Formats: sequence, structure tokens, C-alpha cells
Amino acid sequence: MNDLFARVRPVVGNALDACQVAVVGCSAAAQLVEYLVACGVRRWLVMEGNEWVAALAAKLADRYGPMLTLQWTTTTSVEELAAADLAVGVDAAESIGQLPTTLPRMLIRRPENSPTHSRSIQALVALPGEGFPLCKDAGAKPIPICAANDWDWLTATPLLARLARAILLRGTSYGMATWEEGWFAGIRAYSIGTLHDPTAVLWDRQMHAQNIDAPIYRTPRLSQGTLLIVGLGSLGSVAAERLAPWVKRIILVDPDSVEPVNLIRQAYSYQEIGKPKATALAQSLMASHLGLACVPLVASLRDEGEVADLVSRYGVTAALVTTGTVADFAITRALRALAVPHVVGRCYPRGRFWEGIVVDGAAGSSYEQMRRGVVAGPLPPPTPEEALSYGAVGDLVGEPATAMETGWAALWLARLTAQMIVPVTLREGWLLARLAADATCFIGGVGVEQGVKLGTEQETEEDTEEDRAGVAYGIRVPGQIHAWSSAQINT
Amino acid sequence: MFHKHQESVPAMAEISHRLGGRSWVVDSQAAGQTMGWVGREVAAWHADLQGMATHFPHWVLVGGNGSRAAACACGGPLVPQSGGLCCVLCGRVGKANGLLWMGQLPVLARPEPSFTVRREALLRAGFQETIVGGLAYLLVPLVVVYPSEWPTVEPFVCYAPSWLRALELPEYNAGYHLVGGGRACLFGWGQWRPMSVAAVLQQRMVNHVVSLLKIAAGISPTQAFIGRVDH
Repeated sequence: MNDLFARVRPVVGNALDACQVAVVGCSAAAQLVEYLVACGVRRWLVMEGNEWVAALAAKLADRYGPMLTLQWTTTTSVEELAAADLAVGVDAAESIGQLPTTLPRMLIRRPENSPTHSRSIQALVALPGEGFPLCKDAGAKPIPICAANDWDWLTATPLLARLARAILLRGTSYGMATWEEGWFAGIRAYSIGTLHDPTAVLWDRQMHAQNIDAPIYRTPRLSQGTLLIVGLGSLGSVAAERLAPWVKRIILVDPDSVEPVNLIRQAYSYQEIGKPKATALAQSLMASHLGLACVPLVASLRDEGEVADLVSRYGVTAALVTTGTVADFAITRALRALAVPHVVGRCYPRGRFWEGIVVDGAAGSSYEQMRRGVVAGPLPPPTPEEALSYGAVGDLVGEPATAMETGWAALWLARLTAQMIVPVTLREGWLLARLAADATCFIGGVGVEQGVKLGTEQETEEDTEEDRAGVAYGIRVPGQIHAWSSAQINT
Repeated sequence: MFHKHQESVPAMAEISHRLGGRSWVVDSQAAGQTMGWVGREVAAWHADLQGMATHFPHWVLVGGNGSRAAACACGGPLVPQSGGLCCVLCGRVGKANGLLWMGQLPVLARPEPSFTVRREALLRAGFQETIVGGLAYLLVPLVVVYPSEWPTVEPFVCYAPSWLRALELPEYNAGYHLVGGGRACLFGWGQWRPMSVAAVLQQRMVNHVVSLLKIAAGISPTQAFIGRVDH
């Protein structure tokens, strides 16, 4: 299968191929562009003088080779950006504000540039004919973050890209229901990460000012230890890229080779097609991270003995397991027995949810104890391609999902793993609280779906009938992450 | 049911199996040598042995390689007894990759005249039926293959390829909930919760067999598997 978008078409169709997106702002916008390109957006309008665009164009050309051609148009004035189907600005309120209201606009503000002193990453949406929602200026001086890392932005960008995609697809047969319902209800402001908790998201008609009275701690990057990553697909390969700066050595295990259809969601490039994934990833990571050692193992790990041997031979200090197969159980039993902290992750069908179970060595619940209790939520209706396949031998190439869904999952799994790599004293408060409560089954959802209401969910007076009926995994806002404890799961 | 690991499980009464006039006591230790989960999931192991003895007493647990019963050089099946996987016929110790249950499920033959041809084809192919209370029951041969991570992962329940061929059914068709090699798709993604083999057969497999017989009688798959295929 040589169709680059084979796993994406069932989710977004061809609707994005003809779209043109205007991007203004700083180099942080590059990641958003990458996600939208991976969904099929090929035409880009950018302002002259943005040097990051040339670097990004070169990076994407290297990744996709002749399989994908992008069209970059440079403009000299903000007004020319009005020709786009969507304008996205990162820390570019002034530029976006100058655009006519005839086109949909999305303004993203990072905490260091927030007039509301928010510690959240905020996205404001203005649909055609609308102005941006008002935000009240907090007035007070912001308090700096202590020991920053870039996980907040990294884990937010797939969600922001997904919001942009929702704007582009609104009203089409591939429209994203949660967002369309939200906009109908007046939602125009989206906030990712609130105060001290990066897992929380809010959405509302407008942004609210926040008063920060304490510094926020983020784990510093120390580059230590040996990390084992088993499974180098959409989750493992992307996580490996982001974890490379956090460790001295990575053991990469996967039996498969790179295929053309992998490029759109996984961390491989056109030149690596045909190479074993473990080898390709090891070479690319060592080339881009000076001092990093990588050990590629082109193999499957199937029993505890093999894992114990690896841990012993390489002195593994933490692990990320993303095979998405039954092998996860044997691998995690071995890691648990050797008290190696580990994270086990997978995506649910079509990437609507991801699950990351954190095991802090020998402490707390094991992966098996958590995994047995999690009940899958309602399945989505089949895509047209899946429905067709019921009548005959199907030829769907893997689970349909875009890089936004799998990338968000991968980055959060990487973020959780990075916390397991460092000593307990350096871990962030939001995770320490969850570990103390044995709430180590993290489930994130890109949309809101009906599900079974758990007995432990508290009803409030504000609850609607829909609330009482329950939402899948407690996810009430797109991008929310809920950490479940063993006691809650096995109720 | 199996949410918690039990470190001390009361010993259960011996379970005997019979095949071809021979009988033996199922040896847990021998089973555990073949499949590691037997030692980890003692409660599940006991529940399966007891459940099958109660509800499917003619089924036997044998060594298997994939969905095929492992065979001794003499052709006899290997069963966990007397400290190892031993041949039922000659007693020699053999090897297998796993364990599986094999037996027959009695299912009412369909009354439609269009099914008569299928029933005759099954008899010609050597498959059995029995008459009880004046009603004909097809004896559908099945195997239930234990996965290595039982009961955390669902079992593989498979039809004999020749049985499917006799009914002119494919070994793989998503619309028939057959996922290849005659294996039945019994659970949607993420739906599996630990349950005993007997419960799988009772709650899922019987319906699956009945649905396939409907298809063999000329009913469309969407009607045969009502509510399971959402178009």
C-alpha cells in the first residue's frame, strides 16, 4: 500500500486537500503545520520574513520525499492572508486581529504572552462573521514558571491542530461532532492545562483571567538513565523522539520495517522505507542527539525471561511499552518483578481515546490489575470504508486515525515516561498526587462520547440529563485527561 | 470474577476426562508446564475445569499447536495427566505449544427446507447429529484455544474448516464474524471481561453457531447477526 494517507482518509476524506491555511506568528506554529499537513492540508499562506517556514518546508520535504508536494505562498501583507480558508496565529493577536471577519480565525496564546496571566495555552476561535471573544486583562504582574520544560506546548499542539481541522471540516460529512455541538452552544475559547494541572482543559464562551499566587514547577531535563521502548509504531516512535533528550541510552525494540503508509503518523522518513524500524529510529535519534546511545533490537519480546535479560544486560531504569498486543502483559510482569518504572500505552479504535497506565516500579497497582478493569466505551459507527469491508475481505490498512490523535497520545505517554525516568523528588506535583492516590490509569479523549456513568462520579445540581447519563471515561471536554484509580476501575 | 490474584486457593476435587473409552485425571501441574497462566491464575483454572465438567462434560482439554490438537506419533491426542502431556492411546509424553478444549456443541438443525441440503452435506462430510425428543441436533465440532494471557485476553474459538466448507461458508468474512482460520469473532474491541470458557460457549458461541446456520439456510448476514453489524 503506497497511499500516504491510507490511514487518514477514512477519518478526514479528501476535504482538506483543497484547503489553504494561513499561518502567522512565531516558530511554535511549525508543529501545528506539521499536524495539518499529515491530514492532507497542502496549501499554505505565510507572511514574508518567517524564517522558520523555510526550515519546516525542508523538514517536510525530507520526511515525505516525492510522495507529497506542498505549496507555500509568501505574502507581504496581512490582508493577503484573507484568501485562506482558515487563519491561525500563534502569539500573533495583532496580525490576526487585522484580518476580515469573513474568514474563520484561530488565535493561540501561550502563557508567556497571555494578557490574562494564564498558565494555560489558550485558543480563541472566531467563525465567519464573528469577532474574537473578549478576555478580561488580569492587570497584575505574572509569576514566572520554575524550571520549565516544553511538555505543556508539545502536548497541546495536537489538540490545537485538531481544533483547526474541526474548523476546516465544519459542515462537511467529516465534521467533528463534539466541536460542532460546542460551537452551536457558543463555545469560542479553549484552554489547555489549568494552573497546576496539565491534564485539565476548559472550554467556554470566553476566556477568564486567572490570579496566580504560586510558582509552577516543571521537571528539568537531566539526560540520565537507560530507557527501554518496546513497540515503535505511531506511539512508540513519536515518544522516542521526544524522550531522546531525557536519557543517556535508549533500547529500541520492534520487529517491523518502515512502510510508506507509516510516514504520516510515525517518526520515519521517506529514505527509511524498507529499513527495520528499530534500526532507522536508532540512527536518526543518534544523528540528532549528540551523546545519545541507541541499541536497536529487530525482534519481538514475548516472555518475561527475554525482558529480564534485557533489563539486566543494559541496566534499564525505565520503560515505555507500546506494542498494543497481548505481549504487553508478559513484558510488564517482568518489569514489575524487577521494580522498573514503566508506562504502558495504547490507543482505542480510531484514536478517539488513549490509555496510559503508569506503574511506579513495585509500588501501586500493576498494569494487569488496572487493565482488567477498564471497559471499552461505545464504539464509533464504522467509516464508509469499514462498512464496505463487511461485505467482503476488507483491505483497510491498519486502524484509521490521524497524527493528531496518535501524536497527542504519544506525547502524553512520553511525558508520563519522562516523569518515571527522573527521581521521585523531581517529579511534578500533578503526577505525584495521582501516584499517591494510585490513580495511575490515564485516559485521554479527543471528543466527548456517551458512556456508562461510574458509581464514583459525583452528581451535582448543574448536571444536565446528558451528564447524568454519563460520558465515556469522564471526558467532558475534548482533550481532557482523567486519571482513574484501581478502586474506581474495579468497582 | 478474576480481578484479584489469589495467593492461596482451596484445592478442588479431581476432574476426570474421557475419550475413546479411556479416562484420566486432569493434572494441573502438567497443564501449568505447558501454559504459565495456570500457575498464576489458579482461580480461573479451577473455574474453567469445574465449569466445563458441569456444563460441557464431554469436552476434553488437550495439548494444542495453534488451533490444532497436538498429536502423538501414534496419532493419539496429548492430554495433561500424570505429570506431563501424555498420549491418551500409548501413554508417551509429548510436547505442545498450548492447551485447548475440544468438543461438540449441540445446536438445533434449522427447519427450513433450504437447510436440508446443508444438513445432508454435513452428514456426507462425516459430521454427526443426534435426535432428542424428535428434534435433530447438529453436533458442531469446536475448539477453544487458550491464549497465553488467559483470562485477561479472550480465547480463540474456532470451527473446523471442513465444517465451514460443508456449509459453503468462508473461513474469513467480516460480515459473518469470522476472522480467519475459522475463528469466530465473539467480542467487539475492548468488550472482553474475564469469564470462564463455559460462559464464553454459553453466552457467545451458541449464538454465533446459530447465526451461521441461519446464513447457511439463506438468511442475510445482517439479519442473521441482528444488532451486531451497524451499517
